[in-house]
Amino acid sequence: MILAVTGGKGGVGKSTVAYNLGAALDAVVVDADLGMADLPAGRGPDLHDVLAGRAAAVEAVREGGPVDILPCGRSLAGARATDPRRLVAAVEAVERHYGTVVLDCPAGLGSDVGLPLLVAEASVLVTTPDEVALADAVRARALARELDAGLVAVALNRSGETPPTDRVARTFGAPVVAVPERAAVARGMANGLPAGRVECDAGEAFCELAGRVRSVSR
Amino acid sequence: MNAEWTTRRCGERTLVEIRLATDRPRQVRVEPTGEATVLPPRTDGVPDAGWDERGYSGVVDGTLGLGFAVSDTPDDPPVRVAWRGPPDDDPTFETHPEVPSVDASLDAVVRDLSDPRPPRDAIPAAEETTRSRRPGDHECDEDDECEATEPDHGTPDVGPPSHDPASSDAGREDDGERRSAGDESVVDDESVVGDEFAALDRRLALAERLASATTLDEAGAAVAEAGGLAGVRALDEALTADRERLRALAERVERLRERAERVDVPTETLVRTGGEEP
Repeated sequence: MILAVTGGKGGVGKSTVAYNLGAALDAVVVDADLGMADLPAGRGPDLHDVLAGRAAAVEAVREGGPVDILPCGRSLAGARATDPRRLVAAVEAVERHYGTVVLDCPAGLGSDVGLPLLVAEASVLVTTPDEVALADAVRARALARELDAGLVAVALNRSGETPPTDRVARTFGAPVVAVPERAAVARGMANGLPAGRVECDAGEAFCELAGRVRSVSR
Repeated sequence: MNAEWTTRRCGERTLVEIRLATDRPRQVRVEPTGEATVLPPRTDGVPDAGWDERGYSGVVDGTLGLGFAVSDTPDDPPVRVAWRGPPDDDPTFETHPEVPSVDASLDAVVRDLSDPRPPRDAIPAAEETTRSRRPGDHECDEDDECEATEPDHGTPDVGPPSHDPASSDAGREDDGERRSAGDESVVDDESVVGDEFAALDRRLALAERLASATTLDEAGAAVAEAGGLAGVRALDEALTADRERLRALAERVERLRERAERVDVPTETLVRTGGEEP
């Protein structure tokens, strides 16, 4: 199972959702943001090395933390030296070895989003309730449809006390899971802890999302 | 519906040009006859839209010219043209006016969506690796024994130290590029700055040896050290970029120094007005 977490706009919480979904699904989370990685990294080969042909994808997976991660490099020169097309084979190799892969996509509609959507069999869309984020999410959904990554659910992040779930569900034609704003989620992620271990409410939202992903898994 | 073609032998390959014409929009499939391998037209190493490893699929509305190569001499006729009725007016996917239509294939995604890699100009000169490659330059499957592309040893040290995964892990987390907007906000990692200066030092030393050679033997040795005349030219270009970068760096250092001179942190005042104990 390969799942793409996408959203169109930056800063809506894609990485938070991807990381916590990875924890709930016992998946490897691949930080596919070549230019602006933001999942915790460490030492050893990373996605830049994999996409430049210097390391095998499986050996770049870090298993030490609460969630298995394939981190991305953080240097522009490293990003420049990659062949982004290798992402597809790399992710498939990780799937063969680990079973489930969650791809944390970058913002925008470039091929760094297109390639994860191409290799993914399903997608989760992350947005906040504000109009700019929703407009970008609509574009991201259209790209996901072009590339056949079926939309499993919309994660409505920082949804507030009265989340507009019905309106968002109508817009996207997919179930909506409201993810409450909890500073602890972001704080936990910065320290490498998924929400399930730091915050119950948000953890439940990710469990619900994970359940929806499992329901479409082949 | 009409199809005309010409073939032209070019070395071990045969170039095929075909002109398709219809009086109404029609889907078409074009494949070479025989066992010849198709070499489709490419842009930046990626086959153009409609091409796959066996031929071309597309829509002809009026006339359409195609050109491709085959690896061997094709049979006669050289191509097989299959007309497949009117184009599909019922797209499978919901489209969005700002989202490009893109086929669900590796080549189409890379061709039709933007390149995610930072432009060469965005990378500090001393940091760019000499192993930057374009997609398609080197095909390598995940399961292949994939060798790292080594820096070009034929030219002098015009690039940065290579990123050997075994040796560059330390400091990788802070490669110095997580930069926010703003003129003075760029904070280079010390080791990166150190590497850049060390590389610059080597380039200057080589340039000085080239400049100070007074005999033919000395000049020959220095040129050989630089990797031949191509290396000398590469060194010249790298130093031109270095001068520009050093000038910018010096100006930034000077601006920061002036700001640092001008500002005092009013600690005492803040402590008194804030009502907190020092």
